[in-house]
Amino acid sequence: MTDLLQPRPQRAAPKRLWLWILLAVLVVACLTIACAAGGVAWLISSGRITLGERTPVVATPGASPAATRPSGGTALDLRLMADPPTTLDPAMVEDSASAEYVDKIYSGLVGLDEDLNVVPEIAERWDISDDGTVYTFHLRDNVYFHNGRKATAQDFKYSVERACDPATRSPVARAYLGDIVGAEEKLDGRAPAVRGVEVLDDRTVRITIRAARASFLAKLTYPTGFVVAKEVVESGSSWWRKPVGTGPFRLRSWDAKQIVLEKHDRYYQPLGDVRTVTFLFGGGAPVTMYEQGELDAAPVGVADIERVLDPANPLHYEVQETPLLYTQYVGFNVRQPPFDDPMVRRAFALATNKQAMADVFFKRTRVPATGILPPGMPGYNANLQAIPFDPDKAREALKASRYGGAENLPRIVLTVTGEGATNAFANLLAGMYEEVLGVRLEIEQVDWATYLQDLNAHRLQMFTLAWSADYPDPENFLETQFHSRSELNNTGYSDAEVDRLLEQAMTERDTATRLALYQQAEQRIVDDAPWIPLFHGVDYTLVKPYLRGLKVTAQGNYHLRAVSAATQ
Amino acid sequence: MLRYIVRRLLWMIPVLLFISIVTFALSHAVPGGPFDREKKLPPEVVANLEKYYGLDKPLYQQYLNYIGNIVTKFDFGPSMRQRGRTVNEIFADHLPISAQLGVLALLVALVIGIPLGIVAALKQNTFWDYLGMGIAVFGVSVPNIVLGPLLIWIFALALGWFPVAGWGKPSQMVLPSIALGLGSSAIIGRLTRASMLQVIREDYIRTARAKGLTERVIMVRHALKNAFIPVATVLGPMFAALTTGTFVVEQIFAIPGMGKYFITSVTNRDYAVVMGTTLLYAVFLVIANLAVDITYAFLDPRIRYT
Repeated sequence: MTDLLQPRPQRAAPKRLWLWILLAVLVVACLTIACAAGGVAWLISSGRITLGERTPVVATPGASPAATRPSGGTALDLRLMADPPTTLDPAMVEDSASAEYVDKIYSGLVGLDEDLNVVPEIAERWDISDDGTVYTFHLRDNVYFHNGRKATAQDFKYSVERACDPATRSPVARAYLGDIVGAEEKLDGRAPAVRGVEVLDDRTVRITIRAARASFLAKLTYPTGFVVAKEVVESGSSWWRKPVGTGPFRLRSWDAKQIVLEKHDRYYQPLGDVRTVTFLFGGGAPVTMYEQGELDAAPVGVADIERVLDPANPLHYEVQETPLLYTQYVGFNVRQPPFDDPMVRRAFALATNKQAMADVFFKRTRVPATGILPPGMPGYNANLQAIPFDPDKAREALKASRYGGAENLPRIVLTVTGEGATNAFANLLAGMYEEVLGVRLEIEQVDWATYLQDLNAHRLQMFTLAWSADYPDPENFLETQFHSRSELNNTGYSDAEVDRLLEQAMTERDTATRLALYQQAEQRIVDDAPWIPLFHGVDYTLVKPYLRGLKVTAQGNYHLRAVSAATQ
Repeated sequence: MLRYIVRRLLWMIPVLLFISIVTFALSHAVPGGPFDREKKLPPEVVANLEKYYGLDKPLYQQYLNYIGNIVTKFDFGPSMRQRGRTVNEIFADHLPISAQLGVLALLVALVIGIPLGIVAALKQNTFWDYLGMGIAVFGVSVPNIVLGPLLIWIFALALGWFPVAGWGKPSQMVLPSIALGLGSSAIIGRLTRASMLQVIREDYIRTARAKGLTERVIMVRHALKNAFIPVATVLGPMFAALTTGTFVVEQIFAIPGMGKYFITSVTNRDYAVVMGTTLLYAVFLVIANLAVDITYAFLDPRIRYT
């Protein structure tokens, strides 16, 4: 009997033990979830934590802890977040993510300062001929590549000819270097060299352009004109994975997670205190990482903007606001009914309540636009006569159109692209026009590639898009978008007077006269309303108070040359 | 068994060819191309680029070249968006990271899901069952786009145990693995429970009990092993889905994995990358399913492959 009974207690004990282990695992898992959720609620309600205020650093005005807080010495190791580049070959850059790094690793004859003025870089000065077609650049004597070799006028000539070589397949060389005599022949494979770039001696280069063009210097600041080292470029097709330039920073490492740049000690101009800068790639929650001290600066997105700008939040002392060079707009196809009727366009413009959209929908991350040029762009006109929001006048304008009112309008399709938020914005616009004008818009949402194809083929009737400047010159907005023969004129707008003003401005050498011409053209375009300019962009970036001189440029990239540690 | 595996591997060839043809045809059939830009490129530039990438050739020619390069050189072609980068390089840089994350998430799913299911089954219709299945319903219902930020908020911000984002250090791997694995753990948990409930009512379990085996041996060797078959079935596709990149979790935690290439390649009409990511997923799926089929034989001796 005992033999038969014995196994029972023995069997029961391991069974219990085993179940208990399982239960323990489970309980821990449940408790972590349940307690943590409850705990957070308690911590917050009891004032133990406020997001953004955790572990305040002793006796500093800063609101959040430091990632790489400078200790004693001034050498700074910055941690920032940015998108990974698609290329580090300056001839190929066509996106701002790549420009972020290329602008730091390379340099050209001229560059832009924080206020978007053209300033000397490799060229210390230049002369322009009286007819405005010949530029003579005098180069500095102390320009070195990251590999230690001295850069000369020959290197510039090589770089331009390499960018224009059809084998390079640069998507942008034609747009930025096409003004130079002989560049198009080289691009088309009809000439071995670019005739208009002549090396007079090691430190002098002469560039001849086809016709006087006041924006030429501004175009030269684009990466396509940056200097590359021949021996590096010819070392193999993936040379740009280990780029060598003449810029203020050199590449230390680049992998799937980050890019690390370090100071170029033989850079020809004084630099700030940045020793290294690490750009962490993409995604995540930059503001949260900033608050946790994992980043030294962070862009603020729409999701965080209200919280960060709240005066009760100490973070709002650390926000920098930068106007960006872009304009978001509603565009009309002015060759198709009903928007070939200027009164219909005007009615829609009068019915657009930009202020309400900027405040409510974009939570102040956009500034309502009056004209086409963004503030910060040379030639921005603060006194422009904008079309105001005026529902009564809007209805009158629609009555005065050849349709005589909303009921006779043909079907109108508003085409948008992108994900959820864009859709919500399109609904907002449609709701606004229905409320004010009684017009029902159909919204069509298509993916980006389809949208671009339809846009470039002038198949869209009404669309919403943003335009950002590639170089700080009003030409880059007004001529590209509204000259009747411009490839990028998506609305089909054509006005002889506007064309005349733009052409005159293109060659005018006196800056004040030139900008005045652009302002005249802009006013005429705004009155004609092929666009309803909606908003200009604003960048909000958090910058730790222990840094001085860290700026975001109007093109949305970090300006790191003048960064220094703040003295306490 | 070996013959079976070889036959299955050979079957992969027509399967992958079929997938590649469909993907290739679809990606070229949708409007738009890799060189459509907001700032329209001049036609000469587009023509030059299309010639270089072979897009000016007839479609069947392009397809044959593509497959030819894979077969002869294992070259999946160049990315048309990230100039100078090849699809092989994109895989080499980003796939290991996604695979790490996926394997960890799968471990999380198993470690939480299986015990949860077993306890719920053994304690059917008790508090423990309801609690376990409550957690499972929570896990399935809360998408990782919510769970990710929630975990960050609790464990990175409030408690400060883990960093907010990033990848590389072990401490950075905890939250994303949980965010990605919890949903799958709920599926595994429910499946384990249902299958355990069925198995413990089987005759052979009663026989085992009658033989006087310990409860532990009955559960581990007889019940769990058999109950694991349906779980193993879902593990195959789950493995493929988790390890080839997950857009949402990788974005939330700033992990440089494959996930975003699945999305952006389609948006950008980056044909070679679309093909590459699709084939990658297909290969993972087919191999994972094969592995599942092989494990069946170990789980249930009645299953034999010839």
